[in-house]
Amino acid sequence: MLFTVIPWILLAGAMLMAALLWRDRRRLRARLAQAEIRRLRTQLDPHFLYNTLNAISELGYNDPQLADQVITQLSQLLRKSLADGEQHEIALRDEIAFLEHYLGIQKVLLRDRLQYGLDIDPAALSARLPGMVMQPLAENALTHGMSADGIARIRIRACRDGANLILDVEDEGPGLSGAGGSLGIGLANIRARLRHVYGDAAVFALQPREGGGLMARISLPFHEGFAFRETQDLDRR
Amino acid sequence: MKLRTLIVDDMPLSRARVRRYLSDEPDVEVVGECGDADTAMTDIDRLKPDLLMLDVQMPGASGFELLGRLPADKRPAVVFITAFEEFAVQAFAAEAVDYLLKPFDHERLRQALAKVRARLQPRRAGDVAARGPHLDRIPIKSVGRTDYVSTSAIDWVESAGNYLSLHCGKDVHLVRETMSQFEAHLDPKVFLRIHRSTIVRTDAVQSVEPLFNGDRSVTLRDGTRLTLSRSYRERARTVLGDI
Repeated sequence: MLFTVIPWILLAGAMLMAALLWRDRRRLRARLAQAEIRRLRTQLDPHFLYNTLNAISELGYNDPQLADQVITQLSQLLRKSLADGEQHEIALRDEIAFLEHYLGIQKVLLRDRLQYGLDIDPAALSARLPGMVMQPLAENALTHGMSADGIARIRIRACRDGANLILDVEDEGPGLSGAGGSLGIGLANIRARLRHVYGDAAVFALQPREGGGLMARISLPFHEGFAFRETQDLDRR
Repeated sequence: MKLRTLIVDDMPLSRARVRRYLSDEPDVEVVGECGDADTAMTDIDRLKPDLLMLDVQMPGASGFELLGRLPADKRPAVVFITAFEEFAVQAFAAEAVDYLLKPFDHERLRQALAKVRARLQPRRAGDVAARGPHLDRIPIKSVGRTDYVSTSAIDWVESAGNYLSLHCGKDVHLVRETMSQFEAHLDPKVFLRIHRSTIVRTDAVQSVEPLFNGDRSVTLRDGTRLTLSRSYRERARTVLGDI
């Protein structure tokens, strides 16, 4: 009697275990999906999205051409931000195009409260970098880096300095004191991503800009064409 | 008794959108707009608006900081307009009348305005005497002379391009004015706006029947059929009863 019951108890136990494991796996998967959503959120601010949609809905009445243009720019931004994986490296050329779409839309939203200029070394255009590291810096500059007259003046530079790619985003705002010393999740995210891909070879620093304001600088190993890890492998051969 | 409104939002297009929506409201007058809290402080002091359409995030001080600086007796009614969901609780704690998430549609803004009117009613009841006089007759200007039409003879008013047609029995007179300007001349106890482009004399209304999607069909004593649009129904109910 006892011997006929034991296999059933074992079977029931095994099924319970399987059910629990399966549940855990589902939870883990849900958590991973959430992490992915959080990652996206730190990259393109949803409020930026809503403000842009709000602006488009007004432009539809009095400037359809500009509405059209903003929709196209926004689509390009969304396509990039939804498609690029975190570790995915892209060419500086594409990163700059992304920034130009972003700043172009912000210019429509903020009008004369935003002035910006890009100063990009053509020799650096094919350099590889993790996608969307510069946009959060620009966003930070235009939200926290306004001058006393309420205008955000932003300069973006990219150039090659020997073995390094240097990316600068400058504003003429109140400097580090204006940010209250806190970095914000977007900037913390950049630091984590750079560390993950390049280890100590990349540097991300916020420093006072000469003449007032803040300069955010990213310096990372200059390489073209291949993912960074592959380049290291090639070097070793 | 216009609802004097100040729009405070750092984004020009967002202000333009609110302004355009408000221009359809006969009892709302936009007295100004500005893009930051400091300017708003000065404007509130100078213009004494009844209503603030207020953004939360702006360069410099936020919408909440602005409210914090205003003495309680100088505080207009506040409707927040923002892309941020997360400030709603704080907004209602600050006694905001409503909280609109961008982008919002015209109907949602109308709902907010209905709440504002309800909130301001007791305070404004005393203002009735101060209200501008309503016209007893309307001047009709033509080349070389001006005729007068008694307001009590007007059955209904419809907008026709840049003009308004005043229907008085079998006669129709044209005046060059906007619907909301004209509505201000009329006694709201006698005349009722039923549509963006229609005002009726409530005495002239024979019957009201429901149409689809919340609109109503209004038949006048002379057989004219007009449409009472959904968005004006709430106000019409105070005059025509539960329709």
